[in-house]
Amino acid sequence: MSQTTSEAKRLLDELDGRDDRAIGTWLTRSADPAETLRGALALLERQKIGDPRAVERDASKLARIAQSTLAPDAASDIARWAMLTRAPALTYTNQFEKAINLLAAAREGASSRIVAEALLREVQPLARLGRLKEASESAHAAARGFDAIGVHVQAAKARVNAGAVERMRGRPEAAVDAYERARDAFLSDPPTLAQVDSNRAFALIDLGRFDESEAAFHAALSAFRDAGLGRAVAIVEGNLADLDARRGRVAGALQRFERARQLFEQEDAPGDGARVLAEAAELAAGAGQWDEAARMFDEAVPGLAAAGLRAELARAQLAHATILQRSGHERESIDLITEAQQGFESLDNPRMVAACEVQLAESHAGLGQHDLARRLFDKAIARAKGRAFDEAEAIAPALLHAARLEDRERAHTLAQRLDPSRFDHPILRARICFALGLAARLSDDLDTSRLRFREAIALLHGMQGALQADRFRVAFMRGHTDVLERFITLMLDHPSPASAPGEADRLAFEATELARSRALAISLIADRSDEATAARADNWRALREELSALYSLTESGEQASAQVRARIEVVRTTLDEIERQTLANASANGDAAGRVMPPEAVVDALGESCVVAYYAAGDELFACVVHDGRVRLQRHLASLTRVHAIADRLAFEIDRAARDAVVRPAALERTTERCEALLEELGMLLWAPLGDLPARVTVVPYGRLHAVPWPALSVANNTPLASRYSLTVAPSATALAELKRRRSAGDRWTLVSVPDERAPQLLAEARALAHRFSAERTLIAEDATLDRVRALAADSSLLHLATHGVFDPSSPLEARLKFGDRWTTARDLLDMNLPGTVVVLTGCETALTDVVVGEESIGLSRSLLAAGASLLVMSLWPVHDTASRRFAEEFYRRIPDDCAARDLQRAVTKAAAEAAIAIREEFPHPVYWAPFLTVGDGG
Amino acid sequence: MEPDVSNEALMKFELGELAESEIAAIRARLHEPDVATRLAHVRHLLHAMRDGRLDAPSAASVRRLKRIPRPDLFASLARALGQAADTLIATVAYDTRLHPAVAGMRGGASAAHVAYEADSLDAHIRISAEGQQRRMTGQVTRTSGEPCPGAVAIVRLDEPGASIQLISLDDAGMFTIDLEVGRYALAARCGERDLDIGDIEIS
Repeated sequence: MSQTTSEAKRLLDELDGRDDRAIGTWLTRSADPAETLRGALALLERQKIGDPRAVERDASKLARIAQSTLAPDAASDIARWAMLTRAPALTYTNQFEKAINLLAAAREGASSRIVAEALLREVQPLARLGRLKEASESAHAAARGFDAIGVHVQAAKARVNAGAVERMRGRPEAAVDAYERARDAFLSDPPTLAQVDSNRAFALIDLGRFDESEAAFHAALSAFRDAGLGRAVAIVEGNLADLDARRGRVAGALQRFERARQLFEQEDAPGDGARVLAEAAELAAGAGQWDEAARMFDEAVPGLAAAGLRAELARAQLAHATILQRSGHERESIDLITEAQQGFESLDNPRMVAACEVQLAESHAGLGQHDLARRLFDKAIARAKGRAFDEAEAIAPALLHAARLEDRERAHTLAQRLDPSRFDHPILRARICFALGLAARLSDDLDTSRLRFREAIALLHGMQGALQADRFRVAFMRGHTDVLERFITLMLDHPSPASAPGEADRLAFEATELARSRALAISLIADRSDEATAARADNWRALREELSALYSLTESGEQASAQVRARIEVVRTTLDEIERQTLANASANGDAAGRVMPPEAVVDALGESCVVAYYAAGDELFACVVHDGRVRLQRHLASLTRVHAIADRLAFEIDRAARDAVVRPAALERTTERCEALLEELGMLLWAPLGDLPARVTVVPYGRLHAVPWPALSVANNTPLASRYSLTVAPSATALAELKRRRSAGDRWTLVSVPDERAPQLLAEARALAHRFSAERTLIAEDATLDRVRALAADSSLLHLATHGVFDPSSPLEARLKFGDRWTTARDLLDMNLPGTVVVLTGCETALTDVVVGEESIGLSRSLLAAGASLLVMSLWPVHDTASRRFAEEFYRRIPDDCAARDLQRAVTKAAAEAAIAIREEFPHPVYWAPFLTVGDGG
Repeated sequence: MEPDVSNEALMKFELGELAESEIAAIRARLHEPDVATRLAHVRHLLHAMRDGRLDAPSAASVRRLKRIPRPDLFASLARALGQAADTLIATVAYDTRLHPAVAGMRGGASAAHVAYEADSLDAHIRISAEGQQRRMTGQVTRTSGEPCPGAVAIVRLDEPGASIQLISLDDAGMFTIDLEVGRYALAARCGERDLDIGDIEIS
């Protein structure tokens, strides 16, 4: 420490305790009283910036001391430095006008140095007031002033400020220039240089120069790490996350956001934490996790507002509005976008104003206000002119809008301005390819249209596969289904003219496979260790235990209290958050999407198997019949609306009958015929038109048809399909082809039964089946703990679970089974290891799933298949205790004692069909005999 | 003007807890439509409770007894289908949301199912969830199970100014409507009678 610096520090320390005269006397004896006073003011500025009153008090005192100890000119200089010192504290506490006035006063008649210092200090208050042009002029003037007197480090600081303001003005080229000119002055000061590089990296992002930006951030990150600056490291981690997000690298971005958030937590920096949270929310929104994103925005916004982060607040509002718009709340989204736009306008940021205009245009288009939408798109495109990335982000949605309105001329003009190969951002590229595909379709250039759609789908699937966990992959396709639907329609209506006979049907089938259960297909082959790790985290386990206990409180048959329900919600939300954080730090199965069997290989992989895959284009329900390496398209089976209406009526009748079956069985008599009529009506629509099919068929349902009891449908004489066909259901043909690769190791069977007073037949079932299971592999009641079941399941070729089941459509991952020690949910089951196991579940509603966008069905079946099972026997509705026991008895009676492991799936599928028919005589109403379905690979 | 006969007095009347003079006073008022209607509701409620069909009075009964105003679903039904011969008050026979599982089943139903009964009409309502959307599928029939022509009137109660929707019953007496989460009032016409189904919370 130099003598002057140490004297300045002492002067500041003694300011409180001694009177002006004593200090003045001491000061006159110092080496350079004027420098000591300036040093003390500089220290004061740094140390007490958050306390403007203290700064004003101490700075005024130092000015008075200067007046009594220095020559008038020197004293006047110190008085001006005192004003310079007070200004940042005023700015820090949002007293911007006061700060600017003070600095203007300081400049009057001052030396060049003080003028330059004052100009530098007014950049920030001017910018915070949104007077960006003046702020920019002040920053550049300060830089010139410092250069003129040879104070180059200060000149560089002024340029750094100029760069920040230029970015806010939407002039990234000028910002990059300012930062680059500033760098040289800081070569000997790595942390400051790192700060400059970090800012420069942002300006490079604005210019779409992502590689250079990444390099700049990495340089900054390593310098901050070397200097031990934790908070700065967190900021750059957040910046790199943002960069990853903008480049569409969702997996990397999630990891970095989480790392940054944790670092900010350690550094106790709530404002920055809120910023990172808002950015992560933006990413989550882009990845289709809308509920989670909305929750994160709600959490982040107060923090952003409290920290005065106006730009970040506006950005969060814009992203939140996007979710609202996509979920059909256009009017609310318009309000929020308008607010964000005002925020960006006050910050003089035309880039983000253009982004707001694009979003506004989409919302107005959603409300059918197409002229207004068109004008807003044009405004945004004009505003983005010259910035290739921003321009493409505005043109692509404008083109989509034009194409949807079949405005050929406009679509053609806009399409000319888009070239996907210029961008390495997969989501933007996918949007451009989709828009170009639609434009080509409008121009009847069908080959180009097909190619572009296919390219867009491949890009989206690539991104989907790079996500860490099933839930992220499932959510990702939200907002991206348009391209799949358009592709399917195109392939149906305009199969490639170049294709060989029969090839057109095959291409249409492949298109439907690309649109269905891709996340599940990835889960069937992906490494699940990350999800298993999440499931083993201590706090996760503790909360799961609590949730299990809460579920126990709801099982008595009575409605749970409001308190219990509220606590269940809290615990579920907390678990979601833990999973999000844990999974965000996990490694991604980056190449998983690439390892899923391509649709063109699926038909051959299915071999002799017959698959009937349903799909809908608009309201037209159609089926692809795959058999012996060929595909036959059966179009116009029925109106989807009509099929849904019948399926709804059937569900209504069955639910009512399920209750009547135990409460007033006599009432069933009058509904048996009605149910049978509905089953026949469905059979006539869904099955009869398909013509001759082999005896073993796998059905791939579509949407709500996942809840249809396929084996119970009939096409004539009230004869169920189960009596003629061995039917299995699969989530997709691709998933089936993947499941066919699984084979059970060994021939051990495990029996689990958890009876209670409500379902005493569960115990009777276990007793009746006991001869088929060894005693050491039979777990009854409290012996059937999750850990023991998990241990035995790991080498079981068949696992029989006779226990209560519960399905919750509002939270399908909480579908659960009652074990001896707890309720085991679909989440818990993901942590199991089932080596190609056949799992038989005779509880209620175990086959029910929530079918979400992308034909992903979520429930127990998904978890069990992802955990390694090859085939499941499950129920579609609340099952009757006695009838289900009878089904189980008949079912096992039909599986030979000496059934080899390789034949098990086929035997199980056949036995399930025959057992249903067998108990039908005893229990004629379908509610009794028809709930069970086989799901997976039927052999 | 005669003083109002309180519901409490009607309840005691029905339970036989009044003195003879009080009984006579009420009998003298039974020709008044309001008193007769409220007595019918009290009687219905007591019967339902005696039969163990109710844990709590239905929303419709409570509303009637407390005289809470509600959007006039019956006027809508009358405008569309003509005046009904009379109006029955439904009571809840069972509600799977209150009793999700019963002995003899291996779990509960995920879709809510509510059954209503009145003197000569029955109604069943199933509420299933699909994302934020809720679908109500229902059936209104004579107690014998025989369908009758008619319609259902429904209005959202927690959204001021919501309009009443009318949905025709099909040949099986069924109807379907997609709804948002909220509180609704329901009434139905089946043949010549109206049925006051009451309020239902859709969550």
